[in-house]
Amino acid sequence: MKLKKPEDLKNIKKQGLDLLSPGKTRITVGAATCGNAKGAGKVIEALKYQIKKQKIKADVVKVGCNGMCYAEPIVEVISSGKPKVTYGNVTVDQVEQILKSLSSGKVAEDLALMRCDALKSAVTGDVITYAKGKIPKTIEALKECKKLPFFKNQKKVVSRNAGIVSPDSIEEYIALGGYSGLAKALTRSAKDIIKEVKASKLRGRGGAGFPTGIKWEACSRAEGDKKYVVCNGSEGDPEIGMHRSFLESDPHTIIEGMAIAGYAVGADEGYVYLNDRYLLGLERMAAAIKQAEKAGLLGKNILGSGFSFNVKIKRGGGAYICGEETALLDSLEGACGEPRTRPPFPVESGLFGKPTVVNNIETLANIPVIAMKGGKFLADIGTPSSKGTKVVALSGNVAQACWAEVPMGTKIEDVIKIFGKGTANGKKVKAFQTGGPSGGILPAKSLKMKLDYDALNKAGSLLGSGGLLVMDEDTDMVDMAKFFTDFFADESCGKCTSCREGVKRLQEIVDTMVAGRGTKEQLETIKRLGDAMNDTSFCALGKTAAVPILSVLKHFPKEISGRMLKKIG
Amino acid sequence: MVTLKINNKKIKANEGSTILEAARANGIHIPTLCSNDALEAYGACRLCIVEIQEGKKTVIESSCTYPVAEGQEVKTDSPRVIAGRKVVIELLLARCPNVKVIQKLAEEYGVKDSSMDFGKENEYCILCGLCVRACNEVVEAGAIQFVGRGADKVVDSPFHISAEDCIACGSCAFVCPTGIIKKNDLESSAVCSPEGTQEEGPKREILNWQVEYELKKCFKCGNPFAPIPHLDKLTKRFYALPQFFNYCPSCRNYIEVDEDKCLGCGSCMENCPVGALELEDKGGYDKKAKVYTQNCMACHTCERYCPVGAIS
Repeated sequence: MKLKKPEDLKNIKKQGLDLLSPGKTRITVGAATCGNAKGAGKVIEALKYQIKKQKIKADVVKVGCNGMCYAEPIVEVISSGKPKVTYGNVTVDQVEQILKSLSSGKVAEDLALMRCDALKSAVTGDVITYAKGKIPKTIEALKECKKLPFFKNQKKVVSRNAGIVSPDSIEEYIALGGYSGLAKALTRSAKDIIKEVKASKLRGRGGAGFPTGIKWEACSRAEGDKKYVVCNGSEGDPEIGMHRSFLESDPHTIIEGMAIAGYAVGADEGYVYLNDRYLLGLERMAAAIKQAEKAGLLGKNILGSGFSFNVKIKRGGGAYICGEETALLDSLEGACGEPRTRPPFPVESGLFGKPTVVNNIETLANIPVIAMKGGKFLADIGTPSSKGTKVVALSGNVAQACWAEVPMGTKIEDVIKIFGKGTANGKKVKAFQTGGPSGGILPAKSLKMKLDYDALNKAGSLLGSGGLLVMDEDTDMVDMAKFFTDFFADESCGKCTSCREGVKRLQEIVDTMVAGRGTKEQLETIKRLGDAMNDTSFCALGKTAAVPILSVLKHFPKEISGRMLKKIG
Repeated sequence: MVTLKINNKKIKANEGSTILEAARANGIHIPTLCSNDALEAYGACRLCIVEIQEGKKTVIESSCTYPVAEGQEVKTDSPRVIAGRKVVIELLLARCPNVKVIQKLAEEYGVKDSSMDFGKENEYCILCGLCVRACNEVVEAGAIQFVGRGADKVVDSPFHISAEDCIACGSCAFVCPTGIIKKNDLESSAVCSPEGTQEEGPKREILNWQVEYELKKCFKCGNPFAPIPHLDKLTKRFYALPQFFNYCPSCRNYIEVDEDKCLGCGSCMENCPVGALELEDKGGYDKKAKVYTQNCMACHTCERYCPVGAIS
């Protein structure tokens, strides 16, 4: 059905609400990559088999990831009138037990993680109440999800729908306030939208933290017969995957964000540039675009406003350099991804020489909420220099690998404690790294730092795309430095001398250190080379390639000297 | 026009020009390896870095890519710039210890043998990309490209086999600052096989791209002067007569203008493919065509366009 007026959204919303809290039982399974890797596919098969066998009336729905990657496969059961019950780490054998308890009105207590009484849409504020009347005692004994530390300390803006709605269903997305931001934006002028985004003080979530509103304003002012909006979905960091998670959980948010961006800057075409390794994300994004086109939320004359916008997917090879916006544009045009000279900036001359806005997935996911609730909503969250929320992906030596959306200004220590549950082996945290390979490795004494663009920059790291790699006391820092130096040596595009030759030499020096043949002069060389690379490299990759090894040198000099000149045998 | 300061010297430069251009126009030396006036700025060698102060912000950028702006203060040899440039030279010297341009630069900046710090290599290509860009931007042949990335990056023909689109014009060898592109003009060549030796005419080979093409002999003097595919490409590009390239540049009939007949209409000037003709003021309204012989390639296009037959 094609929507012609903003009011038509209400019809679809009704359909979606019926899907989200139906008369019959709805069973959702977390089937993002994290869930699939832990066997969600088999669990779904088992569920379907058991439902047939036990003659239960129930729908099995694939949803994305709600952040608790460590507890995948997650099975959530919504039976009418009862709170939603979440089961974690479900195996095929346990499926029968869960379904049996369902028919008898009980829960499989040993597997249940939490219950959820009501669902509140972060966009419209609508509440879907699952629990009607008296809650059975066995379910009441479970903790309410809003009281669980894992969810209590989160502020869901970007990931508002992840793990709740089916990524394959536009109706469910609309039911939770989806596309109402676009509908509202289309009734206002483009200037107003930019004003709101500026008021939200939203900064790019990719790495540099450039204010999104200013970027949009520059692009809307730039002269050009055609403009583009590009979604940067080339997540190249080796240890994080929350963009993959978004793509697989809630692709419509990205489409809506892009459409609003297109309306604000005057673009009629958008490209989603995705890492080709994200097979499932690509599939779901393509399906979502088709649904949106079918519903008339993409294409010509969207919701009768006269605004037209199309979105296409382009696949990239997954090179780290293609996360840099100008290299990404090169790759989009079909050339080899190499950074371009700036100025001119992409907002003046970007894709095919036309003014282009390049925004990261997480940045774009913020936009529908800003369009609906106004910029002030986001500006009220966070620290003075960094507003809004940040999705942090925890990895490394943590007990629970997961991602969580926290307000800016949350202490890193708290993130590791609450969401990661400390280190995996219970030892102390020795160091951590934020912002992917380009970020510095900081010692445990910096754990008190807050998630904030400027504070982390000052400390010699960066917020980047929000990876948080935790290292415990057993981690060898020289090995860490080697890992990241090798990563850069592999990922340098080779355009400029200082990066191409610099990382090669850094790698050689670090290799000799790891082998125990390092000398003191080499430490001086690393410092000199690192500083020069920061000054002379063409793009940010080269400028930050020496940061990991330099930060290890700065914060863990003893480990380095311990590894030096160790005679073998 | 914008006004900026380079090394505390006030300079006026055209809007849109780069700092490198502005500096060179005013006699300020900035070393470069990957820059060429005929090519677009690339910014790969990082030798031309300068310190730029714009308002409160100080950045280090390559001068070949950074446009001039009002009120900029540029320093081409501040300690930070020199330190960075020295490391770049050191890195290049470690890669290409036997390349003369690099050795000269190292001497100029007092960089001693960098094998103390780094492992020894003996490359000749510095990956400045001049050959690749000349082939793509100027010659428009697109025969060679960069292959691979990072430390494995090389300039090569497609699939490491004979470059199909190469016309053996030799532009790559001409622009190469290190001389690693081997272009040989052979007076005569022969193919040896068990059946016997077959003599072939003069040839040009470019070893790097694994191509060899026959050289065309001048119909007049009989000297070989250019590879045949190169001439074919030029014929197409300049819409020249097919027989035009039958003669070598020194045997061609160059244009002469009969000033008595010339009307000064300018149609020759408009149609000249290389801009070798201009109108010269002869006082009053009188204008006459003038040939710049150093630019003329004797294609006789103008002759066809002259309405009064003043050109021969």
